[in-house]
Amino acid sequence: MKRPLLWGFVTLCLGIVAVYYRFPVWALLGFVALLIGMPFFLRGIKITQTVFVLGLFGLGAFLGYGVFSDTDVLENLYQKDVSLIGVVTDYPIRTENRLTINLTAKELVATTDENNRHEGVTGIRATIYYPADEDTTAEQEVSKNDEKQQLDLAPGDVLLLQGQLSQPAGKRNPGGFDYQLYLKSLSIDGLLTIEPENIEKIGQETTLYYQILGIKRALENQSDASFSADVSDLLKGVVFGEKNINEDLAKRFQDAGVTHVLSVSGLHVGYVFLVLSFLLMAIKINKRYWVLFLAPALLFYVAITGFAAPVIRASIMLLCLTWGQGLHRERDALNQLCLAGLVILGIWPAQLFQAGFQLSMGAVLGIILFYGPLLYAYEKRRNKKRVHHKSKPGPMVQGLVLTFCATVGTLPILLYHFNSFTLMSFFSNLLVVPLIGVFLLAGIGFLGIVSIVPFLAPILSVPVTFLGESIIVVLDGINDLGAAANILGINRGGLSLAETGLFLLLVFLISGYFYLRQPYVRNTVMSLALGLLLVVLATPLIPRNLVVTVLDVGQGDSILIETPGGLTYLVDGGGYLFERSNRVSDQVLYPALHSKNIHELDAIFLTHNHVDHSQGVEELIFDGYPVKNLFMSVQTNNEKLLNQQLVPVSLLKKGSVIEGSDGVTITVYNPDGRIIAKEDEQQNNASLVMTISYRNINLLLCGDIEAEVEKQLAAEMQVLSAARDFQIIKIPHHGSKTSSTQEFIQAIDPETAVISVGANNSFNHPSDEVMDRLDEEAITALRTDQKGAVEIISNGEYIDIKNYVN
Amino acid sequence: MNLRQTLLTFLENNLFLKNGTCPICGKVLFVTDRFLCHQCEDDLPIINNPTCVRCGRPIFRDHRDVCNPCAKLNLPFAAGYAHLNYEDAGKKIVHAIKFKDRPYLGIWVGTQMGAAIAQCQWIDEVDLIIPVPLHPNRQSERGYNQSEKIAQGIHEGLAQKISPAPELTTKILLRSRDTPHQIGQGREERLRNLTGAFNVETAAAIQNKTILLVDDVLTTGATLAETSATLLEAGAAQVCIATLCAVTE
Ligand SMILES: [Zn+2]
Ligand SMILES: [Zn+2]
Repeated sequence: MKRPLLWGFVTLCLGIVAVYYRFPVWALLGFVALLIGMPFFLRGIKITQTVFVLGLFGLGAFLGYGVFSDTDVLENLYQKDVSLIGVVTDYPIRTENRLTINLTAKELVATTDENNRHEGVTGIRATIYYPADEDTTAEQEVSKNDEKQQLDLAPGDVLLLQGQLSQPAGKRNPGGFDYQLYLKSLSIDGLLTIEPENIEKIGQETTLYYQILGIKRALENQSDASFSADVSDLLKGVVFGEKNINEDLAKRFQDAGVTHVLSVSGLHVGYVFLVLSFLLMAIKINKRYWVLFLAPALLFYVAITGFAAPVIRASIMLLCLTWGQGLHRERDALNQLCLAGLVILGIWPAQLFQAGFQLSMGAVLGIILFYGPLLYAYEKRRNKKRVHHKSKPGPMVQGLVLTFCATVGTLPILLYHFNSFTLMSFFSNLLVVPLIGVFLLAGIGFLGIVSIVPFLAPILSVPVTFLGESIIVVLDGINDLGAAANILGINRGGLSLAETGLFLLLVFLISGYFYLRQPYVRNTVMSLALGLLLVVLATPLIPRNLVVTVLDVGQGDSILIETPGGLTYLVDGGGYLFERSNRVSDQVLYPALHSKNIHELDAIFLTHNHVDHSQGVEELIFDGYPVKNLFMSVQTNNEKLLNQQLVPVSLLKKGSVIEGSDGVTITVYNPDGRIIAKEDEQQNNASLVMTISYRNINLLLCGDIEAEVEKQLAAEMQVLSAARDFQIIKIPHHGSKTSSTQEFIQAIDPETAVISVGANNSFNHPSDEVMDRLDEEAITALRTDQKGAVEIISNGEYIDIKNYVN
Repeated sequence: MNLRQTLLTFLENNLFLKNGTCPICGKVLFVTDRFLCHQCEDDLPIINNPTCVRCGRPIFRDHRDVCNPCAKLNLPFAAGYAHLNYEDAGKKIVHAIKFKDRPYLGIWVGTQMGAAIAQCQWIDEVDLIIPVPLHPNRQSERGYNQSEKIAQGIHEGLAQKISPAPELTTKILLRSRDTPHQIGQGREERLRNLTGAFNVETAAAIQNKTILLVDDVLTTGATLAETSATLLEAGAAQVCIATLCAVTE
């Protein structure tokens, strides 16, 4: 068997995936049997190799169970006050009014019940919220400074903490970010919220790693002292992969599609490697012994960048390369990549699901597979007619091909995780990557020299500043250009299986991987490509289902409707009662729309004008998101939306019907009467109440109506319910006790009730009374605070309900 | 030492592959045991024109038996075989063997050459296979002698077709002077540089023997001519040559 490392890496991934998605046991056993049977079917596979591959599959499953076990060991401690002693593992990150500390604890004890404890090493991310400084009197200022003094924490500090433990949120919405999985990849299991006074430093641990982090911090402080905030952040990001840098700078890199240069990646290790090779060459070390010098140096760099997966990957690959050169054996990049992957997943199995790991592996894999062949194909084409003076591809072509290959490897991953991709990244990579290289080398040189001869800092900082500023200027230029040509951006959900297959087939085809001279290869490739193309083209034509997704926007409402004919509606957009720095549209709506491949809404319905329904709607409309119609209640008082010129507005009242050609009908039952702007206090009862009907399926959306309107509607709903069954109701007003009267619920008589509500909200929604009432009527209640987004899928006959948490 | 060898073999099979990628086009080779991808192996510029009877170099006008360099300089070869034209793909293979740490590629092409040489009439006369040596300095810099790897392959290739196959030896001929790289030098200069660069360690072993001298590339023939002269002076009966690539006259 060629490349047992490759097959081992594949099976290790399969093992982890199998556990994560809870594959049935028979599937696992079947796969194991297949592996065991391999040597009997294929020649050239040794028993030892089979054992190796099998062992890695088992290891993958074992590691997977370690991370994604059925039972959460902290289960009994969530939402409780716990005390713990923990060691700080990295420099805390301070933002405006909070301090985030990562630590490892050996033991967690519930404050109120000493028997409720968890022993064993646990990763904890603790957050201290400082009260917002609205009226800062002199006295408070002083006490705050005291706190800051005391909380000048460094890695290795041992802290005694007390606070509330909570579970990190998983993926809660379509296209949403899985924070829990992300933290797991950093070996963090729980979140702790602490009051500033409940933290105390009680000791200090010293390890080599913490000392290395200390060196890094000292260098970073030097950088802060020598440069402007932007250049210093750029330097820290580029040299150390520091994540604690200002968001505006990070955003500019993200817009240009070159985030990877800011977070330390394989690229940076490459440049560091260049410096080291140059040094080793200068002092005339025999290449055979290079690896002995490089290994500790790269390990130091890995530690200083906080064991980032891409840095480990690149270091392992470069060490193999030099080792091979020392032994005069050619490297095999694919093997090295797999070795690196095995090491990383062996330490942090949850990394497999992280965008950073996948992008790093994908980019390198793309380059390994396609760079050489594509460059060769280009060279051959160019030299076809020349006999003499054959030209070699220049650096520009090489750069383009390299970027193309890295893009091929990362495109499907980018779309899957971020639902967006910018073609500008081609251009910006070509410009920024070399600049960043020069800047990185200059930065390392600067920090190295200045840490020995500090008084040179003012002079040496000038060229570095110049370089840093130039990069930022170039970046801004690229972004302006990108904004002017925004067609270059692609926003769409992940590729389907057939699309991925077709994409890969094409790339392999143009790189010449198929031996097309053989007729059967040619026919297979052709028919495969045609088949996949057919599937891709035919998918949108297949009759689809009605999909109603009650999004989890916290305390608020937002419901996305996709009809079988491809029409898309959004009912309310959620919103935050207390102002937050991040917008509900960026948090929930855009990711959901992108991941579902929706590029335009046929209509937005705003049931009534309360911020937990209207904020997201306003954000979409005033962002200029393409919306064909805006429907509001005749009793709305939202002046802003009534007066805007971006989207045509229609006001709906009882009897309004919106009917699509695909048989999905939306009928309005409330409010009735003429157009009148009701005051904020009366808005709840001004809510649009709508039924969504598709063949035999009927859903009722109630907005935030209260008992008064319910009473008016009850008789009518009774008749309606008798004529055509209601299967699902979106409970009015987040389950408030002033709504969902027994009379109303009985009149509708649904099977399932969806309650859109935020966890631990200050209104105590949903009320126990409503929950009891639903229980009595034997109605299944689905709460978005427990289930995440609730997706209702129906073909008009049957209903399938899916939720995003678990 | 044995442990070291075992470890190295293990690494060669599992980490540094012998044939991980195609040396010509760069494609990753996934399952094949061969060293080139299908297309590149099809397109190998194997010499099939009429060739010079002395050195194996391809000749375009076929009314001659001997190529220009051989005729002009009266090069001392009894017979010759050259495998590939020294152009795109051939150049890439030689480059990979010489500079990109791919000794096994040398052995592999050598085996193909051996199979082809087995068809030549003059092979029956050959008693010894000797690769053109590298100076120890150069060899330690490169890690191995590429000609030796090719010769090793030729020996293996021959052994499959004829028995007994001529013996391969690297102990007899040594390079005593480290000559600078020959790129960018005129023929005269090359010859001057090469004179006396080689010497024969055990002359007794080659008395009246026919020797197959192996090198990677045949350009002007200077290196091979000087080596052959050294061997003939030391008592060899005749010298045939085999080269991986030859430049067309
Ligand atoms: Zn090839
Ligand atoms: Zn000739």
